[in-house]
Amino acid sequence: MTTDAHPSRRDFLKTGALLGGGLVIAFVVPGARRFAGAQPAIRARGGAMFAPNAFLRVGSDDSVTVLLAHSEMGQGIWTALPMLIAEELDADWSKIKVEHAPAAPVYGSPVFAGMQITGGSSSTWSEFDRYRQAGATARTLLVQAAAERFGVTPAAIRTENGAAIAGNQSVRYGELADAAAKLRAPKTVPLKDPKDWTIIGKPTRRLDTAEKITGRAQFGIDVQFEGLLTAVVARSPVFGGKVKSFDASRAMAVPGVRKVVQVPTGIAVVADHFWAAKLGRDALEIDWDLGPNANLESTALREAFGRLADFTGAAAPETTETPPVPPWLRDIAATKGAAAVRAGNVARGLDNAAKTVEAEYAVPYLAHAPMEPLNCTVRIGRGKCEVWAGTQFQTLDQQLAAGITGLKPEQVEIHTTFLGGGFGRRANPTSDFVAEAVQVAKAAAAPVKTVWTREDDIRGGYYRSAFVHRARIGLGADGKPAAWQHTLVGQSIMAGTMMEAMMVKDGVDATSVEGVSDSPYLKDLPNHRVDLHSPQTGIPVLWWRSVGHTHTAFVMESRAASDGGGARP
Amino acid sequence: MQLNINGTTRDVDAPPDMPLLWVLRDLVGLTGTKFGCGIAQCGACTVHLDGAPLRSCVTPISATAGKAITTIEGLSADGSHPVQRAWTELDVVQCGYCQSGQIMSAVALLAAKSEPSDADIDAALSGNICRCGTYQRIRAAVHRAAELRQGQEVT
Repeated sequence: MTTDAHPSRRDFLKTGALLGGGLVIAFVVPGARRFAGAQPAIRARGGAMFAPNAFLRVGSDDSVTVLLAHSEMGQGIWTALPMLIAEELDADWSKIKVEHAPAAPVYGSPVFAGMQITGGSSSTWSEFDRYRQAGATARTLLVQAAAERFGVTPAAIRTENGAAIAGNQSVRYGELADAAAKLRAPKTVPLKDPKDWTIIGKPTRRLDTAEKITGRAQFGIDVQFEGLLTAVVARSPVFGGKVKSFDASRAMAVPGVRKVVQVPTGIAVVADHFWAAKLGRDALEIDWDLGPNANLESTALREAFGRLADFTGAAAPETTETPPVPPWLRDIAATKGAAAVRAGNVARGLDNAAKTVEAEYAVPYLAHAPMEPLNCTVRIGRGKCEVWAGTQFQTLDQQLAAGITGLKPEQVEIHTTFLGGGFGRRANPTSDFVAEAVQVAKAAAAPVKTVWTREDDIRGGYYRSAFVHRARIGLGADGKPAAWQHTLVGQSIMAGTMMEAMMVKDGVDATSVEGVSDSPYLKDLPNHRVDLHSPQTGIPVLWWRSVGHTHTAFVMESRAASDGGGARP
Repeated sequence: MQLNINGTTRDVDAPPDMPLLWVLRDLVGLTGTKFGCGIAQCGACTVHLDGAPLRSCVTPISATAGKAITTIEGLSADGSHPVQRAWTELDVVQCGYCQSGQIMSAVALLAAKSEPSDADIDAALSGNICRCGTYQRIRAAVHRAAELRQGQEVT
């Protein structure tokens, strides 16, 4: 990956805030609030403590606790972010402890407009300066405290392995914690020269292994405390459906079922444990108003997407359906196209080609299906709402929980657990699984853990959209692509969200076409064009790890698309 | 009803058809065994019954009476079981949610076959899904665990 056509990983990262994929672009809102905000009070846990900033604290027992502004979901930041702090702090790596940070403005992402969120493959590179700065600041104060203790200048102190050393005198960081806590932190401090790094860039074993191989690691679904009930929710079998009426008598007859409550998303059966809640949910009798999507089905959707792929440019295709056409299908069929890329004259390029091949790819709606099914635990108390969840989007969770409970955001405590996978599902524009759990706990007037079954998860929406790609590729005499006409059909994940204004330009959602519109295979072809149709279907769609590349990489890297071989003539 | 879990006899108040998984997690409080699918398709809920691997999500507790149940918590007190040591050495885990099940399947395999081939490992663990895709490290770690079990501290 060193040729001009393929920017290196490093170049990519340097400009990541602009090029790092849809999510990153989405949240870089010009002039938006950055990570301003007060540091939450950090409580000491046994003995003296030195907390120079929101990202770490040094205990009198020599421990260095790193607070993660992002969520560990398998990507390894439980280890990578502490490495950044430990490097600048010259910490004793064996003394590092890690916690997920609470929800607070100070933990807002440097690249997501101050929101506390984990996404866009951004956690390590976006925190690279801030976490190193946090470690370096702490080191500066510890050095100053050591200098005062030894009666030398700070310049006479060196640090290594969790200790400050001057000549033959040495003092552990834990012993300096008290004194350092009384010093005033400088605004900025110099960072190490990369050539002096001893931790960053070195293979380092994960810090979360011990918990995860013994069953001790706490995921959201493992949260338990006295009095906690478990809920399973019956949701509409069709997106957009609503409860007309329900009969809970059979559900209430299941041993262990405590309550059946209605919430905006459906009917929740609240029980002593999951199994009773699930049996109770299965025993509910619900009459649903299935709404406008009642007859929506995959085969017709696929065909409708395929018909749109026949059309390029802004012209809306004529519907060829024989009546009666369901409204949802009529809307899809009338979807106008939009041009994502225009270069040269693709029609002429195709006419002049030695050979033309056509390829169609269709990919389905795709659930994220993290190994740990969605779940969220909520306890609402006087002037306080506590939320335990494996979540990727603490800021929105907190705001929505506040709105539902009538509290202020700062009265909502988010306890982030380990995530049994995320893939983007646990960060979405409605925080659906958190908001619903708050509704359930509120309606049940009890602390409740709402757990989704696997079937609930697969049926629950927020999919990667289905896409149809149709490409006509003109090959030159050398057999290589010379002209390329590419049409994509798939739902926009940004339309209708707060990111629409930023991400949808002239009818083109950048995340729908990324990987095609900016493909190195296309950019040197004098004649090429990329068109997009973004039908709306009522099926909730969402970013899915790597976003547009989930389908565009598959298409563009497939042999048929890249050189025409094996493609449908 | 009485269950023998990790060498301890536990009285549980549960209907006989309640799946072992939910008895372990919600009634006994052993949450290391995970819920992934509920239909024996993902392996996250794997425990041992008299040493043999078993999907606890579809096993009614009535089928476990009088037999020894072992969960991830019962494997060792401190993560020192050879399979756990191998998992640590090779940095296997990512999100970690499936790993209790992976480890329980690996332990059962090694008990039945002390020097498994790649094909043996693939066959024995094919029912354990890892959404992070740690399969290559899992396979390497099973081989390493086989060495550790036999006291061959080969590095």
